[in-house]
Amino acid sequence: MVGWLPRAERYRFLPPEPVLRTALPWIVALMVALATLGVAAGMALAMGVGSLGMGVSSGLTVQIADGNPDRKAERAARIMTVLEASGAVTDPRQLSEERTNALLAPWLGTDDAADVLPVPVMIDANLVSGADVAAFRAAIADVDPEAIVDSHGEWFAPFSRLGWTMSGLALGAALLLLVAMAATVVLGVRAGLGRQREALGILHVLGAEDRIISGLFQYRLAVTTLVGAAGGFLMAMLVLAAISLLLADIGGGLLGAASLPVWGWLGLLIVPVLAVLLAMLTTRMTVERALGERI
Amino acid sequence: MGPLARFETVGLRYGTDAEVLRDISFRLDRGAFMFLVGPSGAGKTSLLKLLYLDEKPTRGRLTLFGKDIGAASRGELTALRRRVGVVFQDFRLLDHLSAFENVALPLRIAGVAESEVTAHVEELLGWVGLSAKANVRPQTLSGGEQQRLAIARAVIARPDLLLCDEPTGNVDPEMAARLLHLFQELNRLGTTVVVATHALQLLPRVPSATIMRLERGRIEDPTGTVRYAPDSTRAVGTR
Repeated sequence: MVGWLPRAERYRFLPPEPVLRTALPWIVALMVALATLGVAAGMALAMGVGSLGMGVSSGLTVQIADGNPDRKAERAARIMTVLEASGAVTDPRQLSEERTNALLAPWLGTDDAADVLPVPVMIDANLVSGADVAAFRAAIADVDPEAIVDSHGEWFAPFSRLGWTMSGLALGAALLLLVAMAATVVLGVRAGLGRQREALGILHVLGAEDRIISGLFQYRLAVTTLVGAAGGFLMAMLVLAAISLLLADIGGGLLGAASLPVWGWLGLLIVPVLAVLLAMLTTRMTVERALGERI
Repeated sequence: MGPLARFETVGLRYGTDAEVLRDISFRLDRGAFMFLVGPSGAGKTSLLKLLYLDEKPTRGRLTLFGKDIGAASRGELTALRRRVGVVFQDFRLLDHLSAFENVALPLRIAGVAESEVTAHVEELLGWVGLSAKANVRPQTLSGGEQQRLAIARAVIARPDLLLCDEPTGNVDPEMAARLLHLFQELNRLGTTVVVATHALQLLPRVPSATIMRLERGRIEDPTGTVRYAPDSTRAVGTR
């Protein structure tokens, strides 16, 4: 039943300490909850920016503005011919007058805007992967110097940079929280060594090796951190589940794209696991350093 | 085979305080029985601490089991500690463990098989008269019983060197005599025994014992170990 316990714990070389009696598991729970939320925010932002970027970055729109409707139609037809023949773009499609009117109706309050205003003709297309926007723009300018080529990727780039930066910051904050947790573990272990000083002195004189003592502390801190990390992770999952429900109500856009896939949710498990491993490593180093101060 | 321990102008200080042991030089032969006497604060416990490797000399050279302690690695020191049994003045039993578990501790630390541990501990508890109290906590035992428990823990692993700091301080004269007899038995079986004590009346009970007197951190006779004649209470010679 207890065969898997370290020998020092099985035979209670040190007085047992109830896990929840110290502040450590509570602090670990808080840190892990915040770190999990940080990682989730970072991942969601990265996924949102990534998925939106994939959707819009390849898009481009050619605008032909002209007060003369006949000339505008002629210029649009010429550019359509160039686009259809170009290897740099795929699926060129001109927005119909009805579609343009429908898009402008909320602002102009009329459904025949194109009849009364010099609304530009818009042609959407997708840039093939690796195609050079500048070269494409130059090719359009050869045919129609006044046509405006609007690359969606160019205006999305600052948003993308901001998104990735914020994502990195969120992940960095999560990492810092885990480092802060490790620092708390150091303090907790030192306090534990202080509480057990007398017993440790006896074990030392009886010939207990450093690894027996550090193994015992490592085991106890692993249990403590595991309890705290599990609690903190559960807390974070509840918060994330609530946020997911709110996002589901909002629907599309960046927030809609920012939801985590199943592997993302599973990936969050790395936070409590990392917390426990970090606590064990920190404990071993702290105990061995403290024991090294004795002869 | 050299001596079990050799002190060569050993000094010991705690932190930046004055030396508690000064210019200690003597040899402790294998199989010897030594009484360490002297007034309180003379340095008896500090000298024992050097022998059970809780402290290293701050000056001079200490050789234990042929190993220079100043040059020994942590692993070597741990191995040497397992060859030393200690009976502390204040017993230093672990209150969260039963009497059985306290005695079993040195064997369990050394990784001895549990079947062997049980047999040895039960036998030794019987030897010190505590079989009936194997499952009780030390704090429920009398001073004398705790003393015997501490002795059982010290000798369970058959140490080469047994160190006792005032082992008879908390027991009646009859029990003191019994304990001393126990130490003599162990000594007869090959264990080197060092007993620090105030109880000078015990000294004649071990006629073969070497007696060393400490005074203010020094060996009183600077030329070597003071030896008392078995039937005398004063020093008659040195070696």
